[in-house]
Amino acid sequence: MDDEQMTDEDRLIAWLDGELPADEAQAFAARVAADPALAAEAERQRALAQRLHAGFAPLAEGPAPAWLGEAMAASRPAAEVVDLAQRRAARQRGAKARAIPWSALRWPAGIAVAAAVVLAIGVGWTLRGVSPVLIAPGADGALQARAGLAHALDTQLASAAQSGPIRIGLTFRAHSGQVCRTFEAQSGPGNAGPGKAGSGKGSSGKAGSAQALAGVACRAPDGWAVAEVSTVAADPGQYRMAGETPAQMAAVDALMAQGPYDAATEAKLAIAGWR
Amino acid sequence: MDSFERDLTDLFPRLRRLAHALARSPAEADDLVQGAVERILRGRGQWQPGTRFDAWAFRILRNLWIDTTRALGRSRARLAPEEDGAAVGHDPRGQIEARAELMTLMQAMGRLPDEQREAIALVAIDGLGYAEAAQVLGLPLGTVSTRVARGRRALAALMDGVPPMDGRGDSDGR
Repeated sequence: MDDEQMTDEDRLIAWLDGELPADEAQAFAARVAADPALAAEAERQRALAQRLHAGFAPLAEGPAPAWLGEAMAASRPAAEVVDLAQRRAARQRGAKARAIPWSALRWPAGIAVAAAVVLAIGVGWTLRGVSPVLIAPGADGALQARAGLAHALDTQLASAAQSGPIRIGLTFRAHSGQVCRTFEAQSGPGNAGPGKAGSGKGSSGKAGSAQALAGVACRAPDGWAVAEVSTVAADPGQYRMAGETPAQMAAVDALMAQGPYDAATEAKLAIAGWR
Repeated sequence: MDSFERDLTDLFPRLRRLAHALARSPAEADDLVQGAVERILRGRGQWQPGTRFDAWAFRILRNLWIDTTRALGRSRARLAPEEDGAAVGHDPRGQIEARAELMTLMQAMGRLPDEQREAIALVAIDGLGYAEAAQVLGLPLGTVSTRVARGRRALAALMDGVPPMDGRGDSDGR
């Protein structure tokens, strides 16, 4: 630094920090060598800098704590939403015209998404006021849709008016060849979630907020296999969520080989038993 | 883990250290680190690959510190000597001394004006050059060098006669 207004005191520190230009540094070094008082102050400051760096150094040693990995994992779906939306938009532009006026790319500001849910084997998913158990493990432990949800997946068309608590969104075909559908089951406050408390991280479920189960299910020989489900909180008064959750979109993006299907194709698949 | 997350994981120890250099207690430092990580993850779309990740992340942490300290105001509890929580390395024999030394340094740093403390934190503790620190702080280089120098002189006065607890760093025999 060629700052002529820099005081000598400041220049000493800058010199010690190696921040003076070479010629200035050389000149200053000569002064320090010739001046015992200056040399003593320089040594005092050098020792302090070393002490500071050494004292705090242990904090920069050692690995990152476990909570960092968890924080990064929890933020991942949100980080991927933008990419997913762009990729889906690109896919849409190349796809055939649709009759379903769905708005899956818009993410309403009022919706809060719960943290990733961990399901334990043996836990059933309930939604009081709709059905005792909507999702439960089958004989092989894999989650299956039951009762009202299975019925909705079997019979409801996204292109038709959907007035019940269960709404079907997209219908598409997975790489496996199975037909899959996104679903959302809404209810009142605090009614959604895993059947056993403490069996996994539940939804954020603020008091008074509506809750929903949102997920993806695929038609298997013995019923609807649930590929993805999580609890979602929704603003009271906003009965209908417009569009899929980030977790749903991530699952759709991973699964989908063909689709989303238009109204005509959806109707044909319904008649054909979703095969 | 993608490259952004790897960058963050690699930088985390320096973030933790910087938080302790700025905060007035290990508890405040832990809160600061956690809050900064949240903001860093939320703002990942704003980071431009190819630019300095550490400068970007440090700026986020420092701005959070400013927001937090301004909100809390000037009243601050004195650092209790037995205050715990700062992870100071793996060697159990030296851990007690290392923690005491860290507490001493944090107390001294806490008595600096904020503007000097942040300059010292970046330059003397993290080891950034004046230009790099100026980039993090958004200040002219001359301002940074002045604040570093004033902070160092103030610290020297505060630490005068306070021997290091772990036998490191102080060479003048006091």
